[in-house]
Amino acid sequence: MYEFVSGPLFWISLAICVAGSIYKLVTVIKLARKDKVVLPYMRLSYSMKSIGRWITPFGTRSMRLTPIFTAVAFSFHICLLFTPLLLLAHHELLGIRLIHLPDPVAHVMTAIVIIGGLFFLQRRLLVPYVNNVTYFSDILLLLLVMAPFVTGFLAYYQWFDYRTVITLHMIFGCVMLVIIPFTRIVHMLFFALTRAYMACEFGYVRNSQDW
Amino acid sequence: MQDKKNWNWDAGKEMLADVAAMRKAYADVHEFSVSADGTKIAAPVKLEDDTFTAVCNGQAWETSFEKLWYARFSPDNRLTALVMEDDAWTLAADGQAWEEKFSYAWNPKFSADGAHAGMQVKQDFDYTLAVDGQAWETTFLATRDFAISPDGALGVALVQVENVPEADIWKFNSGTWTVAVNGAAWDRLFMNVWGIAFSPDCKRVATQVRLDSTTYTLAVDGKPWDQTFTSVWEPKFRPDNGALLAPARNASGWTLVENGNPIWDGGFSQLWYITFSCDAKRIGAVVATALGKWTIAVDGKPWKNSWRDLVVGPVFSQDTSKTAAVVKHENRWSIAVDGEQWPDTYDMAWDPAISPDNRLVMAKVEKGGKYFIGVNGKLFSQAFDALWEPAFSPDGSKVLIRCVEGGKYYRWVAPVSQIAG
Amino acid sequence: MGFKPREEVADQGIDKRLEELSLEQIEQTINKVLAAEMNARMTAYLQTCVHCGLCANACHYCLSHNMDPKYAPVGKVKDTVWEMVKKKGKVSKEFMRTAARIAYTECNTCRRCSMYCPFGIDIAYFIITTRRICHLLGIVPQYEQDTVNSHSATFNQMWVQQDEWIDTLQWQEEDAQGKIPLARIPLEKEGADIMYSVIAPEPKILAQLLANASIIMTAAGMSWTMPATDGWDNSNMAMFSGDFETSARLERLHHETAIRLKVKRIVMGECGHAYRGAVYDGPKSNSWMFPPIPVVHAIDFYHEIITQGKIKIAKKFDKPITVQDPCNVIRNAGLGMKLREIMKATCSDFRDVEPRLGHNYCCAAGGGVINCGPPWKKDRVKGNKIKAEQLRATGAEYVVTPCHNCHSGIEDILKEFNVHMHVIFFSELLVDHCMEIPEHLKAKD
Repeated sequence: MYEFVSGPLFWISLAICVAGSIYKLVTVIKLARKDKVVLPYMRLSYSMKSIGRWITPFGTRSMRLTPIFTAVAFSFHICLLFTPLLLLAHHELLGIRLIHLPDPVAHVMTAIVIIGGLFFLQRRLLVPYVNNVTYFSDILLLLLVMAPFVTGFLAYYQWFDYRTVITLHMIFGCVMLVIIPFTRIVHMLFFALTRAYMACEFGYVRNSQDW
Repeated sequence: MQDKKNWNWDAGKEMLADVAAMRKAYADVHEFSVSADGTKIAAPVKLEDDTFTAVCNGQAWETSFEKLWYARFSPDNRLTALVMEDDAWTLAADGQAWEEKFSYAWNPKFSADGAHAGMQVKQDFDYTLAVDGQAWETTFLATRDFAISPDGALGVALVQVENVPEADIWKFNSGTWTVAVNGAAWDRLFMNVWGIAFSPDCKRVATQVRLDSTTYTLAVDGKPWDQTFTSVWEPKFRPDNGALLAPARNASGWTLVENGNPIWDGGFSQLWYITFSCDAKRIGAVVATALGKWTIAVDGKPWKNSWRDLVVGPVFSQDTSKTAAVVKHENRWSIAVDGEQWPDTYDMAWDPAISPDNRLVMAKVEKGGKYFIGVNGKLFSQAFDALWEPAFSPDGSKVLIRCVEGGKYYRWVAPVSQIAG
Repeated sequence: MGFKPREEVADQGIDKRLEELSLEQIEQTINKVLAAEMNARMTAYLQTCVHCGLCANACHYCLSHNMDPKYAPVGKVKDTVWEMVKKKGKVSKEFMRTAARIAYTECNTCRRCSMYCPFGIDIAYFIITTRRICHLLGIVPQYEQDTVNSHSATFNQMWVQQDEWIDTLQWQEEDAQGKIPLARIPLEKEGADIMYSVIAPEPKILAQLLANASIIMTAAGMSWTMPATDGWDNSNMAMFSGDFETSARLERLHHETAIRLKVKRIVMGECGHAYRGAVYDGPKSNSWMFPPIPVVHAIDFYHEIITQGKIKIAKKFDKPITVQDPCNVIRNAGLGMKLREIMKATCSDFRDVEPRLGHNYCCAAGGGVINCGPPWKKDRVKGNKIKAEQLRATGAEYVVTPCHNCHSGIEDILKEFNVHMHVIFFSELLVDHCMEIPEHLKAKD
């Protein structure tokens, strides 16, 4: 089980993630061609300017209005993306050598993802206008995103049965990869596209700005 | 339409009016109008006593009115204007007002030979048409457009015949508009009617109709086509066989339909301004092949070039082989001939004319506040302060130029060789 | 926190037709529109939205209702398009009744929420898609539909007859001559530089604005004209009711009138949605990528003639005054700084609003909402408390609203929330208080 999970399953998941992402992007770009009012207005400069704003913490009024959310959301996303990519244990497993995070940093980053997840969860449950649009799938998705981090944390401290926990960790990691293109986590891929379109609508078509 | 053969085509430049002097002579001089043959130039003027009259070639009408506007030449070269006296409006031609007066009158139009004139009028609270000095006996709740057939036999108006109480959307949906021909409204009412087209024999009338809020088609003499569409634009009758053509939209986009059936392949992103060649064998139209890609399609085949902003209706040469149109790209105007744009662009360009021998395409253009004559893409060196669209003589050897230079109006017949240089 | 359900509002335009509709008709129409609209935008938006609720902070309805979730933009999408997609069109009549209410009366399609959504989702597009479905089903608020009917029959939004239009211009030209004896409203002047277009309330109820235009144009020495034919009204409620065919027809005639008159640009009066129709949302429906004839909004035009010295300011207005940033020309056209420059050029005690420019609060009247008429007025006014408070905070006695919808909408909320402020157009400020009549144009005694 452990061997399968740490070897073939990972590669299969990664393949599904990559192929699925390409499929999703190609589909939406193809659709954009049919939607005759999208591509003619796309301009790189407006897109980059807006995306730059929106990936800069507190770069927009929306972010400044909700400082706690913004701080949590940026930390959460950065840690979510970079902890698994820069973890020494992951590199060793794949037999590659890259810059990696010192263990204490990785711990803190993992904790941030978990705390961030809990923050989002309480928001989903307690803030009426978020709760109103929270479906079971939203909660499940959040838990699935948190799962590899929680199990990774547990595995490191060898709480519970290490073998079981690490296997679960890897399974959750693979699940995470697989669901990226096929669930709302696809926002990771589409962010640049939807943002770029709105940036051009605001900037190129309407001489204004969207931040 | 005037027969250009009857115009004076002797080469020469004749000063017909001192426009600058006129501006000094009157309290105010409004917009100028010039006859098609160039022999007359006129404008409404305000007199010292705050009344108005019209001045043609420097000569004021003997009568003056409380108000006078819309000075235009009829096809038979009479100067007409809308005039008001004692709070009543009517049409005056060469200084003579119609005897019948109205609460309001507007939008005068003429038959092809100018012998018949008509306009929309309001009498107290009723709307109708007045043709040749006489209002129709039937009146309507509103008229929205009208036309006189080229032979003058038919006066046609888009009319509202049933009242719609305030915000009564159900009554409106049930149909309150139709077309009235010589005072008699069609039996069938529609939600909307738009535009008027006459058959070549001036016997039939077609219009766009909206049957319900999402269903559109064309109607001829009150009878809608069986085929319906999600939208339509203004129809035209074929001059040769009298079939009715119109742009119509279906699932694949805009196409050209004849008597209800598509005759061009595929769907365009837009299609309007149907134009026929003189022999009616070729059909041109303005089309958009995609967003911001405007061009001319002849017999369904678009030119290879397109323009971003707009293309105005095409003009065919007499032998039908050549097409030209005004085009606009990134806010600069130009002329395109068979799909190729002139090298220069202008602040404005007017409809082109094609010489009878097909060699020359000529258009009025504006650059830096001055007006020029462009021929095959080159500007005739002389700049004008004002210019009306130039015309070729029937034999193609001369050009009629109607222009203002140095405060004076000239009728100038110049050899083509001089202009095309 | 308990939020009250919506109060019942009867609107025959929606209710009566809904009775006649079958569930199959509803299902078919929804699926037809969604199939046609299931393009890149809809697909990407539906999959990308993470239901984060950040857009709630953007919406004046939500802000004015104590963050009531049903007024959050995403909440409105949930109760309209999401449900239609999820149920594949098999929705109840009651659902459609609420969907129509949300789409027509609880969203001004002002697009502020797209600036608060991290993904830039065009939430207004969902709302407009819902309106399209409602139009095809014939469930449109009665007064809104009546306005669209007027557009379709008369090419203006207030059933103005052709003679009334021309007569009003002639009469307003005479009025303008009271101030400048040679003031004109040149009708049908082919080859003028500018065609000036307005919306129907000007000839119908605010005719003095036409005289103002004549005074300003004459004083600035502009070459301009106005059409004596249909095509003079630049407004477009069909764009907001979902009747895109009528919308296309209106935009075509407006621009073709300018093309026929051979003008180089259209200058339009102080109206926001008309700018949206003529410049960026309308042209697309006729396959124009940009307006075929450039359109200049009044703010931009006043800025041009003031900064170029074509009109001079004789005396600055000295009472405390603030301004409304109309969504369709500020957030959606970037004229915010120009608006401030002309305010400062003409007023000595200009007090800015906060938030301002593209982040302004909508007036809650635009996007077709005020045209839904008396049945919905209470909802509309209650839904914009935040705007009243924002204006109150400036301490101004006057507010300039360079948009007709804003003008009416703000008058209503100021009254409702007891804010004592006069609502004026910029042209009134200019003509009645500030501008100098050039010596050579003054009446000779």
